[in-house]
Amino acid sequence: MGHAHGFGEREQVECAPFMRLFFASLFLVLFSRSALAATEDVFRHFQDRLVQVRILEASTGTQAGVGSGFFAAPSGLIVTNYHVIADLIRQPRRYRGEVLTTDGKRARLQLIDFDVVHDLALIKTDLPPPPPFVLHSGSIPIGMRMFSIGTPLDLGFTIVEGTYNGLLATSLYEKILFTGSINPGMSGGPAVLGNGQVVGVNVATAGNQVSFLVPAKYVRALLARVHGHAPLSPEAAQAQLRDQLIANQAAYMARLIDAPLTTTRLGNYRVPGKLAPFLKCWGDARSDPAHRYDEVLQQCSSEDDLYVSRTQTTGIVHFQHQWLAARGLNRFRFYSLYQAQFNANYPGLQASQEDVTKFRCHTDFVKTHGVSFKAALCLRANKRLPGLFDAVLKAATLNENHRGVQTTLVLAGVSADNAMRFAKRYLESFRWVP
Amino acid sequence: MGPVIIAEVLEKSGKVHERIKLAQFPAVLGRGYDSDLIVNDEFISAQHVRITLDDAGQFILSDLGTENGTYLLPEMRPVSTLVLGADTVLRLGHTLLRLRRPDCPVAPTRIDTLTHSRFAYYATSNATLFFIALLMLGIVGFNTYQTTVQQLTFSKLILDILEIAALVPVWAGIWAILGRVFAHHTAYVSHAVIACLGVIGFFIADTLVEYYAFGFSAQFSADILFDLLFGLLAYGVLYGHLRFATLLAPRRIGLVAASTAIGLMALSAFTTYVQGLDFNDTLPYPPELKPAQFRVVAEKPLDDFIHAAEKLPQQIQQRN
Repeated sequence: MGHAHGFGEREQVECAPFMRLFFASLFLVLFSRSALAATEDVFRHFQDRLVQVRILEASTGTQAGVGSGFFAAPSGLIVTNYHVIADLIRQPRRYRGEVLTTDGKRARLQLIDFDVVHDLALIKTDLPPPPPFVLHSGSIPIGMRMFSIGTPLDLGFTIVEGTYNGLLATSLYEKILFTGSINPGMSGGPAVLGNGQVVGVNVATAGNQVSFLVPAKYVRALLARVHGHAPLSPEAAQAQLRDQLIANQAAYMARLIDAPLTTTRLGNYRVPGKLAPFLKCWGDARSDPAHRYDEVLQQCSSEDDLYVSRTQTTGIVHFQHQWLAARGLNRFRFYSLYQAQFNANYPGLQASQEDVTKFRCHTDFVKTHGVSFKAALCLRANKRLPGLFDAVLKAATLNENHRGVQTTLVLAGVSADNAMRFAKRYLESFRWVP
Repeated sequence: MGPVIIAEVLEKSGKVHERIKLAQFPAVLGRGYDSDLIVNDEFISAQHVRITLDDAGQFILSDLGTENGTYLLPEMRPVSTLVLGADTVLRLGHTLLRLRRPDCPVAPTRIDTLTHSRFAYYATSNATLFFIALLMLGIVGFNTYQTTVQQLTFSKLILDILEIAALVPVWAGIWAILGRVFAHHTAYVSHAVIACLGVIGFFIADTLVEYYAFGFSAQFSADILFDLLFGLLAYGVLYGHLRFATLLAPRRIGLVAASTAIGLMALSAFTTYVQGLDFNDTLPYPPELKPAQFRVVAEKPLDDFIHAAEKLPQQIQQRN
């Protein structure tokens, strides 16, 4: 799922062919729902509580990213997404932030607190606070009409109608599935019921009306823990970011490590399967007649990556297995294929030179529960988030001369201890079933 | 026969360009067509020097008052008259002139070690080239076969072999031309044999290192081993080519080949070092996978593997 972030890095271009369709459907919606007449009332009634959050390049004052936000407390605290203001933590000298109200007032913003895991941030300005939005509590029936408000693609304040579709069943972090078009720039804006109560905060979209909201209870929790409104210094913010990520990885890694070993069959091996409910697993098989081998793939991912900065995402749990079996290849020919597949590729760890060190690996032959591996465990450290590592485990079984399983485990943003414990648990769950 | 003197016009390299025996004195050397030795150099006068034989049987050379003068080498001393010794080198205009008496000693005969070497004997034979080339084609073809996992067609096999095999005649041709220039013989067959041996050597070294890297689960030492073998191979190939393409002494060739090979190794190491300086997100582990029979070091229990990997954070910290 792509974060609905500021300008410049989104899939607008790909969206272009659908724009006409988009306008057509919006047009239809306006007419068919005109009898209900609530949308314009909602917007008119609450527009003074909305802001656009702008991240400006400090030296020129030009816009580097935009998001949305809303007044959520009588004291004037504004809620937005962490990923909207992440630049202010990562590069406080290069960026500054301001808010723009619906009546065109601008004010410098200050960061008060944030929750990187649920992608929320609290900011403050010296604007006279309007009456805040009220956070909804209690249950909502599936299909209930809702309105998401924000400034999509920096096109001005916009209200989008959609429906509530409950909490995501398998996500690691609770999210509301909202069926409505949330677009980049709407991040941090409120999603409200007809009575103006905030159900969630716009956070991400998977396109085609599949959008995600942060439930209001996390906003409430964040508001509750803020005492006083002292701005967070960049150093304190960085330390808090690290603490939150360390606590978070401890929680989900404990779930993974303590979970019973779930394995699935792959070729004549048993391999780690859906170890936790928050993992999504997919499989595929290839048997190209031009190739003299068969291939079966399985992979599981958490799909709950955490946005840290423009250059880094973390919190990734991903593993994949590849079964390779020769069809009439001798052992040397099979192993030249097997070796070519055992290259240094691994999926999706995004980080820059300022974020992480280079990888360092430990490689050896390992035997566990009758499975012979050549295994390489590689680690790199987070430079700005000390104590957090990215880990990649690559292993290939050597039990047979004409077939085998290769596996890749990727953990982003975990403690070294958790990386080791899970790598051990992961490898020891393999079985050879000759 | 009366007294003679041998006049030699030398090239810049010291090679004799023209040689005549002067037996009638006085003899005149110059650009003029009435000279006894006509030298084609516009900086030389029509009558440049004269050589006379005095009563005591000594050869006396005198400059005939020329515009550009006559100089005695190696010290470049201007001369107007000079008593010739057994070996005299002069500069006239832009021309080097050597005057030698018949009693001038010559250097000892150089032993032709190449003709006497067994290697050269085999390397110059067409039969050797045929068999070595066949062996090379076989090895390249076998390697293609072993590393292809697609359905292997005959035409693809031939194409893969040709890609490498076609380089050999070109490479040998370049050395043959160099040989023609420096040693006055092409020795094409020998150069082709050496090129084929080089290709064979490379495949063997590469395979050896791969199996070593797998067997010992080694990376750093495998890289070193590869560089060493590659250096040795470069030395051997270069030595062979230079032996046939130049007339340098074997020791000199050895020196040139060794320093070139060491230079190549240093360049390779330096390239690796520079590449290592840049940030990258690749996983630096040895990717070699071979059938388990080729494993040499023992398999470790999982606990030992994890325990060893636990040192990684500390190692990363030391690096940064």
